[in-house]
Amino acid sequence: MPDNDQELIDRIRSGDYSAFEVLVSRYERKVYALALKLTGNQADAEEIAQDVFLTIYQKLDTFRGESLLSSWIYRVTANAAFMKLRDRRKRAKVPFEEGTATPEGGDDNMPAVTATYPQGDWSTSADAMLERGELGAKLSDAIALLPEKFKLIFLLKDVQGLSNEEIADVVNMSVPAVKSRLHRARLFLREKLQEYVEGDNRARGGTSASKSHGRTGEDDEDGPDSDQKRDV
Amino acid sequence: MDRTAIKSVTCEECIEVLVDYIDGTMDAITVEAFEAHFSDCPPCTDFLKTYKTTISVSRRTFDEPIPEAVSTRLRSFLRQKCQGKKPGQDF
Repeated sequence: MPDNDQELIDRIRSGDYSAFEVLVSRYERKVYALALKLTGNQADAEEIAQDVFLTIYQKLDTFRGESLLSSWIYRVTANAAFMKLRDRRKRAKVPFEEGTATPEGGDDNMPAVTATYPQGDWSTSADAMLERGELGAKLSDAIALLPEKFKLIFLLKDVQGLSNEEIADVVNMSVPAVKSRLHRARLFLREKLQEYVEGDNRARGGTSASKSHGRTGEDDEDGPDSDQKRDV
Repeated sequence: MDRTAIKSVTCEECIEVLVDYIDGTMDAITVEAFEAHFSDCPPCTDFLKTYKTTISVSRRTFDEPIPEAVSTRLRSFLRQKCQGKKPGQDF
């Protein structure tokens, strides 16, 4: 049975380097993927991965276990990535321009989101675009528009699969704050995805279904009568 | 269960609590109210589907493997820096 994280930590502290290699195997993909999506740069992501694991090894003697090892690793990764982005901005000496760089952390930089209703369900079209390899670059561009914290929370939840509680530990926020930012990030990316799919449909000569609802709540504020029993 | 006590939810309310709905952390009575709304509101059903698609497409796009060459260089770097030393020792 593979060692759990605490068993690995104990073995590494006692000088068992092979245990550290197991830990690296366990987390290298997650660290690299997160660093890559946060920085958008493969060379930076590789450098960050090296720095992260070196830091983890060096400081493992002081890790007190108050949070999960995984939370600590993600936190170190995110901090390293954001530091790399800030260094890049300083070197460029160009003020942030929307669409060209990751905006810094604050909520003020979150692009406006409107929960507009879809022109029908475009899920199948999106899946098809993904299969054709047409979405990767567009989604990367979209996610780059999110402020740092929103992007990090989205990636930790919807790509890395962390719980809201683990994410709250990594980003040092409350769970409600994490959920709010996660939702706003998802709404923003959903909106961008809708634009891409509708653009692709138009280019292919397709037409959008007629919109069957206005803005949220405007046309049907009270919702349907839900007194009846329904099969769900 | 008293079915008449199920509250009627609005489209806006549905959208605002999607995180809890998708996480499965909503209580059963509220789930029933929301699913009753979804079954009578095609735009909200479409919105839910496209919200879920956003998550699944992103996961499939962004969950990339580490290239083998990067992994090899990472392990080589770490062996060079760490092997023979314990955590906390002077590096």
